[in-house]
Amino acid sequence: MLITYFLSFLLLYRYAAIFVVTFLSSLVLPLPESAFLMAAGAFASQGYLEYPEVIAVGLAGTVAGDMSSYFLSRKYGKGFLMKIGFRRILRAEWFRELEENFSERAASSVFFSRFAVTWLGTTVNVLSGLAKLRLRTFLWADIAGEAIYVVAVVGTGYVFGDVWQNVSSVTEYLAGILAILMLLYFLRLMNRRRRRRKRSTVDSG
Amino acid sequence: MSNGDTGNRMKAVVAILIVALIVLAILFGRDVMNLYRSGAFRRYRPIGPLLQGNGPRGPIPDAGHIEKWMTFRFITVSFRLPTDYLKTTLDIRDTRYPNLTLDRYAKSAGLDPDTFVGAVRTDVRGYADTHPAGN
Repeated sequence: MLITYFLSFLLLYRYAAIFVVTFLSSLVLPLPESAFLMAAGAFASQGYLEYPEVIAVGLAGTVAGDMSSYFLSRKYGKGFLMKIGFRRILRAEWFRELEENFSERAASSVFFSRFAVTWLGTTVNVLSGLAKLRLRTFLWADIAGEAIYVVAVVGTGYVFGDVWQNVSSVTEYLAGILAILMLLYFLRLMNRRRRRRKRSTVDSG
Repeated sequence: MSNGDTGNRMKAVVAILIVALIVLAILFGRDVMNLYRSGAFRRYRPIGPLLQGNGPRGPIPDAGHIEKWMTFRFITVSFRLPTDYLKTTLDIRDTRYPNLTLDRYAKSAGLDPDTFVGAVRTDVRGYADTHPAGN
């Protein structure tokens, strides 16, 4: 199993491993970050790692990864993404709507995507960069959201100790439920906006 | 694309999401019930002292939890063994000890990893029987 390689990596390189995995996962790679942090919490409960250090390093890694993808998309922008094969997506109608919705609720989108819809985290980082969201706004929303995420996941691992693997699948289902609820909420917002636009077109016509 | 098409597509997406939500909720409920029956919720430790800085160490796990991906250092710490206990009892001469996984050591020493893990479990159980509170 892939996760066992990550667990060995964590046991061998400890805090450096936590930083590397959380950084790469927040930047772009689809790594099993939640299971990894939960394991780190469980290892802290067994005295192998220190809980405050796991939280601090995990938070530093995730925030550094988020900031990197934000800066990369802010600096290189849409032109670069189009060159590397995202032309169709970036020109799609739904993407334009997504950008408009995002600009209206940028800070809350960054905040909630850190812990409620974690698989959207990188997309939100890229959108923040493309929308040239203010650095300070992005940074504070990011730190607040990631702090909730890291403390919750590491804390769960700590509390359940050596049975953390049994709890891990439960939290994955919970994350899926939260993600769908957020998506339904987002679709509702998009629908409402579309109706409003349609109504204003009819009124002006 | 007409507004009607967009509306129908939106309804289809919402329907799929609701079905997925129901499936996930059922799986979530099933796993929570399994966890409850396994006694995992009774094993949790209070988080209060942890919030004040240093939490208490968890109980010594069962030796059956030892796996190939674990390092000697991790086993020594979490099972509260003396630093060189495994090195002495298993006659390990690898200079990378204790920062070495059981799997990697077994392969480099030409041993079957599963058999070696069994030997480590037996040694750890032997120590736990004579030192119930650990080192």
